[in-house]
Amino acid sequence: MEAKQKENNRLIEFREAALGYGKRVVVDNVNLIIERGDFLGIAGPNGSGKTTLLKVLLKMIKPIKGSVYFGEELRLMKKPLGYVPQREFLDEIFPLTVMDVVMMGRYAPIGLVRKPTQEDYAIVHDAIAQVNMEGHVHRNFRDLSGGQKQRVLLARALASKPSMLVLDEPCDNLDIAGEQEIMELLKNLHDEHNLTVIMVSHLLTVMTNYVVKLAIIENGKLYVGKVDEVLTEENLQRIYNMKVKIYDVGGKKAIIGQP
Amino acid sequence: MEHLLASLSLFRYALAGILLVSFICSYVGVYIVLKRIIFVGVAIAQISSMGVAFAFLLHLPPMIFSLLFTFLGMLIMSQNLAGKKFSQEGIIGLGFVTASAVTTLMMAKSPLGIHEVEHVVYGDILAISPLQVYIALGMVITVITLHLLFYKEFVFVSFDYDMARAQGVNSALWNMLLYFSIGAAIAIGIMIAGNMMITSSIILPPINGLILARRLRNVFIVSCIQGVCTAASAFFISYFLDLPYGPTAAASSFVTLGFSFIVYKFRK
Repeated sequence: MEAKQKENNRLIEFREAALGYGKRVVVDNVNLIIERGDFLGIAGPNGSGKTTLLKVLLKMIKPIKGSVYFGEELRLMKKPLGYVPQREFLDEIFPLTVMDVVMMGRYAPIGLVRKPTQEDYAIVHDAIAQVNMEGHVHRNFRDLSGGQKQRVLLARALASKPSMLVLDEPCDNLDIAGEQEIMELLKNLHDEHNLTVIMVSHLLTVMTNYVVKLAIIENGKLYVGKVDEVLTEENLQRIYNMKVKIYDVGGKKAIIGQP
Repeated sequence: MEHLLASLSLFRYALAGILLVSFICSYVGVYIVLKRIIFVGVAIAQISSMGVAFAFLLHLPPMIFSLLFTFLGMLIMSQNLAGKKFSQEGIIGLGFVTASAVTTLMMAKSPLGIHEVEHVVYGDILAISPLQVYIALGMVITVITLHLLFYKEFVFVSFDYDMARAQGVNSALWNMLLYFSIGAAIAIGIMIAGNMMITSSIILPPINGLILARRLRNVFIVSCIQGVCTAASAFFISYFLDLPYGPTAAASSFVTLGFSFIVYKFRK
């Protein structure tokens, strides 16, 4: 019984996986379990392999060695993976409304040839409401601010009723208010709806104040643990090859690099 | 008036043919412009012509080889072959230049002679046959049916390929199907209306649609209306002023685009 429960909770497991392209290994010997309800942040210097890890999660590439296990929900696509890409990757030339974009989250469940039903519209409106974008339903996606676009992409992922959310640099190029807004929203989705959230970001300070678990890639190796275990000055100094100080500011961590 | 009606009756297949191909090329052109693959469209038009020249050289059916070359070209160009030392644009450019040169060389060596083959390779509206019109009609019905049935899949993979894939949508398959439908429209269009008219049809009306419309569905509608209207008006202009059809069609599209731009500026 307990084993079955454990099995149900395990969404993805990397087992001694070597990740990379062709024969070139970018991250080696990855052992990582993503369980239901996790709030995991993945960090690392530029070029460390964060995107490679993300591509394996999205099944865009297969591990070179080892294996990646996907739980039943993801394997059979009972509940898909709610992917939130970097908004800069989406071309603004498309004249799509917020409704059009969020409805894309329903396309897979709707199926071929069929049109969205009233139920699909209700789910989409719900998702839009969850990210507080109700007043913008008929606006063009390209006319929105960076933070608003990010919320719409989040709503699109939520509309698919995902087993987990995977976000690629959700706070990139946002102002402080925008960063906080997105992170509070993610925290709320995790805390209130027990949604599993995995995010990749190079903004350590922003991420570490919200996530529960942290994975850092250093020299092709992945280190995972509770935030306080992984986020130490010694670790950061070694990873980023510079002096790093972690300050406590009103209960929140501030990570400052020093010359 | 009597003269015009007599001429219309004489050129009814020509008119029907160009209206059909301008309609479908203006439609698929929206995807070409949205996906920023205009140069792919231009190169494919040239590769399609190469297929016709190849067929003439070896006494093979030109329509089949035009389609075959187009699909092969689309298959190659839909792959990301770029590396650190060369870009995707470089590969497309290579395809265009090679196809242009090989087409001319094959036409020169064709047993029918370069001038005889030229009007088939690059299209000649006066030579449009009833069979070509029926083939164009069949292609338009097939492509439009495909696009109406799978509109959401085509838009999804065009806008966000990775998200579609993460949702379990077979992005590669839908992308390939989209490219093939674009290829079919271009290949048959070139044989009927010529390279210049088709190249302008896949670019100018969609740009006009994007300038005038604010919703994606309306972009398709504006593009198709403009494509068909300018094709028809260019037909009559070229008839009355005794001008070559392809350049007249391209110029008409360009003038319409100019007016749209003024409307857009005033609306702003």
